Amino acid sequence: MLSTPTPQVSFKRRLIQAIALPVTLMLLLAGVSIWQISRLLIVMQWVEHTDQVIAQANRVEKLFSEVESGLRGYFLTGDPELLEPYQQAEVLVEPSFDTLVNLVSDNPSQSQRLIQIETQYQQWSSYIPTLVAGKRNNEALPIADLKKRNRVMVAIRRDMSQFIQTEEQLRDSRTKTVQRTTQTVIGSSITLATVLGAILAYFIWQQIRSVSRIYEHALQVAQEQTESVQRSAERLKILHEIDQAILAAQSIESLAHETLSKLKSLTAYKEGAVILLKSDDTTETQILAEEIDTELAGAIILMTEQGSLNSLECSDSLCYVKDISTLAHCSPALEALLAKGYHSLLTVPLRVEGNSIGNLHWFATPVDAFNAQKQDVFREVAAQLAIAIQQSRLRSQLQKYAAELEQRVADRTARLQAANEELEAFSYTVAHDLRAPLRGVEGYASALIEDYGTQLDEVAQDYIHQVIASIDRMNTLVQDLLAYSHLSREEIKLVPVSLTQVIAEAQAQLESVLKERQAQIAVAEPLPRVMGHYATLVQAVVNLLSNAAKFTVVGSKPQICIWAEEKTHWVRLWVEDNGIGIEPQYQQQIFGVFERLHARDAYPGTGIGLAIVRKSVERLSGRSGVESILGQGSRFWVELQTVKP
Amino acid sequence: MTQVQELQQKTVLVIEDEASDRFPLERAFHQLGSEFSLHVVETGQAAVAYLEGKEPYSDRSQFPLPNLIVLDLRLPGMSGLDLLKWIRQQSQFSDLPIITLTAYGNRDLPRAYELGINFYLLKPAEAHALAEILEAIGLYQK
Repeated sequence: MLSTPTPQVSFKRRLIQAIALPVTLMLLLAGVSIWQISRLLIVMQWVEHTDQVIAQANRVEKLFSEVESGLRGYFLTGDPELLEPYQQAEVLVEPSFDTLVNLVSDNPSQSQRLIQIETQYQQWSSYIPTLVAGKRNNEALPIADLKKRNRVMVAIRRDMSQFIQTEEQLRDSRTKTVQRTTQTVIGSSITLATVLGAILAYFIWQQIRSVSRIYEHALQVAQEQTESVQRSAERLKILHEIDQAILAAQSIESLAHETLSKLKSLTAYKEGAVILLKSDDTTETQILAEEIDTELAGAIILMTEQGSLNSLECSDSLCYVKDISTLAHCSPALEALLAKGYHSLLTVPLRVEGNSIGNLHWFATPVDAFNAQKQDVFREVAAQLAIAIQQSRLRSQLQKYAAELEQRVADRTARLQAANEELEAFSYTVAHDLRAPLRGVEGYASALIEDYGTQLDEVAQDYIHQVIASIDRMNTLVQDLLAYSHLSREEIKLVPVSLTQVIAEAQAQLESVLKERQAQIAVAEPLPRVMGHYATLVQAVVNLLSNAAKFTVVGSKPQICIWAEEKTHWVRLWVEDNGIGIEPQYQQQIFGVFERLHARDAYPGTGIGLAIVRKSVERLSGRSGVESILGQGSRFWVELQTVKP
Repeated sequence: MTQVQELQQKTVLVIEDEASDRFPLERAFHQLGSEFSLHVVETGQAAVAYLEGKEPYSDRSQFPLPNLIVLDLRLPGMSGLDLLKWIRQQSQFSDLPIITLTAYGNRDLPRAYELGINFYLLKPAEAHALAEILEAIGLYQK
């Protein structure tokens, strides 16, 4: 990790430094080079200047020679033609000399020499016109003048060559200066470049070194982290595999074996292991799984039971012996382990809710084979194993209970079915065989009154009518009872049923009774559909309707209203009458079997009708009830499930 | 009663074991007129013997083949349904009208219709109900 708190700022500064220093150094190098080159140029200009001076001086000297030789020819021959070169050169002498004077104006000693030469030349020239005029006139030339003129010219030549010599010396010294300066420039440039290069190299080296230090550090951190992630991933993978093995295991034994074999894959060296489990109900300890010979496992059981482990160095969650051979007191089991070459011993208790249910013993040949990380793995595995064992125990217990319960339910169901079949056979017998003699009595009684009625007096006829009425009642009772018991046994599957159809069918079945009693029935159409069973629902409504038509106030006709109240989960079908009503204390009683509130003479019936209503609706997973005020009529209701869309 | 009607004597085979149920039936037929000649057997096996013309019913002048069968579904031994099935399997009786005599709420009635009865008559038999059924079959006219 970078030690600076703001690595971006530091990086920016570093970048600026890395660019600024080389740029500054390059600028410096460039400046020095320009300065040295300009110095060299100046020196070289001086050399060139001197060359120019020498060239000009030579030209002037040559002009002097030409003037002199022209004149000498003329003086010898007197031929005016020979005077021409003198005249031509004489014109050029003046400007050439002036140019030379200008060129050496910076040098006082040479300028002084030129002034002297000029004076001598003017002196030389002053002789010329007299001599030329004398020759033209063929006069004899004065020798003295000629000699004077000759001497002057020699002086001029001597001075000129001295001038040139001086300039040549000057040029030599300046050329040397140029050479020196060039060497200096090259030398200093190389030196400077070397120094700057060295500085730059040092700087870059330093930068690279610091960056590489940071990089190496980061790399090391990354490697460490990657390794740690890999290690924990590996650990998680093994734990996950053990988890899966635990989940897939069919029994506690296979659970323990799977755990041992997975744990073994954690290490490469020779190891042994044993998982001990305390029995549920006794103090006995058993071997659940082992990876060592049985004899040794037995010894370890003994060691565990005797509590020898308590003398070892133990923390809350595990006991760890780095090297068994260093222990002061060795139990026989530990000695046996040592004899087999095992040195490290790790013992982790299997705990469930704080109680130890067993131990996981693990031993390895090397000394100190289990580092903290491995101990953690074993600790976690032991915790999972303990929970899995406990769950497995609970599961098998639960399975045992469930099986027992299932058997009991099956037994009872079989007994109930047998009883039900018996009851059905009994009901059928009641319906048919018990009613057969009754039909005989009825048949003979009817025949008696029809065939021999005229021979009997009124009292005898009345007796026979009473017999027939009793038989009727008995028949109805048996029929109703049969219908009620049939209702309890019949298998009912709930399907959507139209209440409109149910009401219409019930009215059709009761047509004669309703007509006889002049009942007025108002149905609030449309009625919804409900979950029900058509025949059962018709049976319930028939009983409600006949009830409503039956219990009328003396002298009034039954008026019956039917409507439905729809809610989210249920539909309530109401049947309201204008009858005699029911006192509150009897409003529940009337739904019982054979419950009657009135004398049979006043309102005929078996007293089973409302019981059939209640039972029918219960079989349709509904409810039934009544709201009533004595003398003001009753409202019966049945509540049924709505049809789910 | 005319000569022609006497010639059209109709034979009815009644299979019913209960005397107390037979009595109202015989009375009802009697009330409808004398053209019905009732032959009573009490078991399914006896009915089979009658219809096959075996002893003691081999004399067809005394035990003629029936125009109508009235059958109780609850019989000792061979049940009414088994007998019904047997009758309908005989090609000569496949169109023979059969009425079952049954108490209210008999759960075998749907099965009986499947096996081919024409009508059912509720116990105790009554003359007006019997007359309606016989009219429907075409054996009686008011």
